[in-house]
Parts: sequence; structure tokens; C-alpha cells
Amino acid sequence: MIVIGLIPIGYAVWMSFTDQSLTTATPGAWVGLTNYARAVFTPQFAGSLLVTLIFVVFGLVIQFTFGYLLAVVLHRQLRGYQIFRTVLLIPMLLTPVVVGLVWQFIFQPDLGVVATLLEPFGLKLNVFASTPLARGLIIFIDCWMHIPFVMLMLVAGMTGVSQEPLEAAAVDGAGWWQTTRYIMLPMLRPVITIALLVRCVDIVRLFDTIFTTTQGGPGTSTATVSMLAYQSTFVYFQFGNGAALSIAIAVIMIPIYFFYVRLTKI
Amino acid sequence: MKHRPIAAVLAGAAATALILTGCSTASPSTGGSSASVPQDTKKPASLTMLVTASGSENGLKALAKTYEQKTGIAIEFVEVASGDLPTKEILAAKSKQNTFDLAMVDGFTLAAVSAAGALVPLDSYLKSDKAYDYESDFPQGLKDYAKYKGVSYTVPLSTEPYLQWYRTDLYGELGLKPATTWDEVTSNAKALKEAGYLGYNPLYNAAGAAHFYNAMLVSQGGRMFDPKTLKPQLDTDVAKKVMNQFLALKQYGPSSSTSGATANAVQAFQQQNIGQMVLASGWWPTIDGSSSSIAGKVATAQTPLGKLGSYTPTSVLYGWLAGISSTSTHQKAAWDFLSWALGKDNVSAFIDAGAAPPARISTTSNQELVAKAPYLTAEAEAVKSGTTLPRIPAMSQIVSVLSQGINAMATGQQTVDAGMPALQNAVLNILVQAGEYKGN
Repeated sequence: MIVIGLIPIGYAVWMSFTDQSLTTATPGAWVGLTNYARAVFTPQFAGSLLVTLIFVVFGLVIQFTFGYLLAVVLHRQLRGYQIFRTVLLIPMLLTPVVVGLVWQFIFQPDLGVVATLLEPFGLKLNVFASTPLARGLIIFIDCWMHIPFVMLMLVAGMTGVSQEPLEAAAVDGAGWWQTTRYIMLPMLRPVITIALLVRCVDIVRLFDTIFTTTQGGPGTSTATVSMLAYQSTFVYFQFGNGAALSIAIAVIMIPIYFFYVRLTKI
Repeated sequence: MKHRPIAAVLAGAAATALILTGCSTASPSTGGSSASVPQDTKKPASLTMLVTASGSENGLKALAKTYEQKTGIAIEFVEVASGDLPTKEILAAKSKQNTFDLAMVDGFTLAAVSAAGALVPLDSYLKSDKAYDYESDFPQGLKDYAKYKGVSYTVPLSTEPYLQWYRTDLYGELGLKPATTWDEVTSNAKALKEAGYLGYNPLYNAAGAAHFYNAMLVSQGGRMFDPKTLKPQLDTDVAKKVMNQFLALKQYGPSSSTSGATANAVQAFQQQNIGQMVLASGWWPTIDGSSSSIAGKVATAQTPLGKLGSYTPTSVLYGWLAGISSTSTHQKAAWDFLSWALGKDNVSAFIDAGAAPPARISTTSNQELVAKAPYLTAEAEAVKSGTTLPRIPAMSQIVSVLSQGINAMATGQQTVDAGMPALQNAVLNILVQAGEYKGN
């Protein structure tokens, strides 16, 4: 506990109170809350937090909706479902950097696949120059990669659902929506919650996909808190600021982790 | 037990920060020059050099084979992404790990890398190495380009000032001449557009737009920073006028100009019938290379000039530098390789391998070499008066913030009237926080 917990915590907290930078020769000096004032309580951090929140909210809603619908289809084990399942799982197995580069090329505004398809119609589309489209692309890529994960979790949960209430509902004439709303979703609640919590934490950490597609642009409209922390640490070499950002992100995520730990009873 | 989740969270954050930190800070390499040249204790079997994909890398790799045959010392190249170069170099110094002997360094990150103590001062080598002929064969601007706080931590590996590039076939067809002013750039762009071509290839991406804006500003007598005090000058009329000019060129460019990296812009220039652009000269081997679809149809000229500001209109110098790691145990051997590879005798081989050589006086005035690399003529002019971005460690951050702001203006998220004062404040804050600007 001391080695994996207290020492790193103490070091990170201490560093967040110093002006430690890789571009200075001197060891970091104590600067109190300056790093928090410079890096955390700023419009930039608030903006990146908002961007992250947008990705989390839209990502979770879309991933759950499509993940659930696909899980329902898979759970019925229709003919050829194994092939369907294998194909669906492919995006989840790919490296995010490669996925980002592939989608970046697909949407490249001059020579990309989409541009080529639109050209005969005299249409032009530059998703990287539009805030809603760039954010939409990031959400889309994340969903494309991770809907299979949500689907897998829900399929696993569905196999554990007792058939009796479902059969009783069918006898009582309950439709698909009523069965879903009053039986399936409540019974899947623990699985859904854990799947969404895992995805929530992952989306907050989202970095590689953004880095390889929009690089945080246009402007800073797709720059998440992870990108901000990366820039502060590895581009600006300001480790004090980076530590302050890391602590701030950790504090913001505490309720999520707490909820997760409670649910999983670790 | 209630505190376990919180502890776990904080532990995760702290561990991340720890990993990011690498190790504790190391003492810096001592600046200044020494009269005596340090000697290695024994001859190494190999030297390791950090490089990034570029013509310079190709040139060094080609020469390394000959060097190994000549000396028995192999040069091992470790390729990293250009953005990761300063990180690798600084972390190696801070951790005191001898992970490389030599490294490529980008000009605008030189200050950060040098300030971190990652590079060894080269002044003593430069003074004693007569064959390298640093004193008389390099223009003063180039020597200054390789220095941080008056100390030569690096030597020029490539010289790549921003030049005007134009398509000779399109210009010939339309009877256009290379622009000498930015107004002529616009009129050429209009003519090209009316003929069905793309008129200009601007770059507004969120990672590097600042370099291209700076090139346009400097060429018209403006400066982003007061040369004496470093106070940002982004809220001045000149800076705003040039920004409006810069953004107005968007209508003549490809769609990717607002998002593509420099490599994408080069690709667009090769593939999309774009008449002109301003770009670092080091891209010549790529654009005019045998695999380029526009090889033989491109020429370079001096960056168009203007007189909007009160400073001397000139070009901005860019280019790769090469330095020796402060943790290397074979610093003398490393210098010997640099001196040989970048010496006068190897310039021709360097160009043949696709590299842009350092703009030695003996190189830019050598007609045989100019025939091989025609951009050297324009480059010689640019180097005479060319200027650089201020050498301060915070420059990476400033370039990043400026580029994001320019990208926001280019994509319509912000007007120039609102964006320029915002950039002025943002850059001023960075400089104040970095202790580089203390007022007035």
C-alpha cells in the first residue's frame, strides 16, 4: 500500500506544488498553489473539461444504444451469428493510433475517400475545420471501436438473465419495448453500469485517437483534459503543471471510481 | 477501508505523474566553451544518433556507411517522431542515461533542449577543428541559429529558410512571374484560380500554423516579439494586417489547408496543381525528387517581401541542427563523425542522398552544387539576413498556442479582431510565467 499508493501519491502531490520543469537545470522549487492557478483554474482546463464531458455523454449514449441493440440481435443466436460477432469485434482489436490514422485518411478533405466520393456531386466536406463535425468524428471513431465491447458485456449479461420473467411477460402480451424497459434493463443494470463506467473512464483518458485525427483542432475544440496534460508535460515540459492537471483529473474522477469500486465490490 | 477507492485513484494519478517525470532533475551541462577538446577514453565500436524522418536522415545514413568503412565506427540510427525528439533528448539527460551520442535538434526546440542540459557545448571543437572551417565558411546568421545564450550547442545539419515555391509549368502557361511582394502573391493566386488551378497553398493547422504566419509577418517587416524585450506584438496593426492577409489566402488553397500538417501540404502541392506556396527549402528533395509528379516543374525564389512594419523585411531561418549528448561517453568520436559528415567534402554526397545541406558559403557559391540543388541560390540570399524565432525554452508552448489560435481564426471560430488580442494575452502570460518577460 505504501509503495503503490502513498509514495506515488505523495510524490505527485509534492510535484504539483513545485515549479519542476525539464527545461530548467535546477530542481523544482516550492510554488504553493501556483500550478493549480496556472493550469487547472483556467479557461483552457474548463474548456477541455467541457470537451471531455461532451465526448463522455454522447459516447456513452451512442455506445449503449447500439451496443444493446446489437447484443439483442446476437443473443438470439440467429443463423451465422458467429460470423456477425467476429466481424463486429474487429474494431475493438485494432490499435487506436492506426484506427485514428485510417479515419483521418478517409476524411482527408482533399484526397480522402469521402472527398473522392463527394467530388462528382460538387460537394466538399472538411470535418477537421468544423467544431461539431470534428467532435462528431471523434465520437464516431470511439463508438466504432468500443460499441463491440459494450455489446460483448451485454451479451454476457443477457445469457445470465432468467428466462422465466421473459416468458411470463410474453404470456401477458408484453411487447419488445415493455420487456426491455421493465425486465431486461433492470436485470442487466449491474452489467450496464459497469460497462458504462469502464467506458466513461476510457473516454476521459481518450488521447491517441484525437492525437492522430484532429490533434485537438480546429483550434482547441477537440482537446480533452488528457491532451492538455500531455501537452503540458511532453510538449511544454512543465511537470509541475502536468502533475497539477493529473491530480485535478484524478479528483474529478473520484466519484466515478468510487461508484465503480462499490459496484464491483473490489 | 472507505478510503481505498480514493487512495487508488490518487495512486493512479500519482503513478502517472511519476512515470511522466522519468527521474529527478539532473545537473546541467556547463555552458561556455573550453579551450581544450575533451578526449574519449577509448575508440567506440559504434555511435548512436537520434534522427527523425527527413532528408537529413537520408543524407546521414548514406554517409554513415562510408564512415564505417573508413573508421570502423558504425553509426546506429534510432528514428523517432519529430515531436518526440526533444522529449527523448531531455529525458536522457535528466536520467543521466547514455541512450544516444548524437541527435538531430529542431531549431525552435534548441533552447528547451539546451537549457535542460541535454547537449554538450561544441565551441571548443569548433575552434580547434580547422577542416570543418566554422569560422569563415558559415554566415553569422547560421552560427547564431545553432546557439543558445551565446553557446554553440549544435551545428547546422540542414539550412531550410522559408522560400517561395512556384510551378514553372503553370506560371509559363499563364505568363506569371514569381512574386516579389505579397500583393503579387495574391494577384498570381487570382490568375491561377481563374485558370482553374489552386492559387496558393497556405497552412493553418493547429500544430504549426504559427511558423507560416511568422514567415509572412517577418517578410513584411513585422515581428511577433520585440527583439529587445521579447514583448509580444500580436495586437499591433501590422500583426493584424498580416493575419488578415494570411487568412485571405485560404480561398485560393485546398480544403486541407486548415487541418493538414506540413507533409500533407507538400503532398497537396505535388498532387493538386497548386501554383505557389511558401515553404522551407528542405522540402526540395521531396518535391523535386524522382518520385514526385511535379519533378522538374518547380522553382524557388526569395520569400515575397513588403514593408508594413518597421523591422527589416527578411526570411525566417529554419533547419535541422545536430548536437552531441551531454551523457555520451564518446563525445570526441561523435564530433569527429559530425565534422566529417558535414564537412565541405561531403556536401555533394549529402545532396545526392536527398538532404538539404547546411548553407556554407562554399556550398551556396559552388555552381556545381547549385546545379544539383537550384534552391541554394535563393537560400544564399535568405541566409544573409534571415532571422529566427527567439531562442527561449517556452517557444514550443508559444508556437502551439499561437497555432491553435490561428487555426481557430482560419476555421471561423474566432475573428481576427478578437483572436489577436487573445493571442497577445496568452503569449504574454506564457512569457511572464517563464520569466522571459518582466515588463516594458
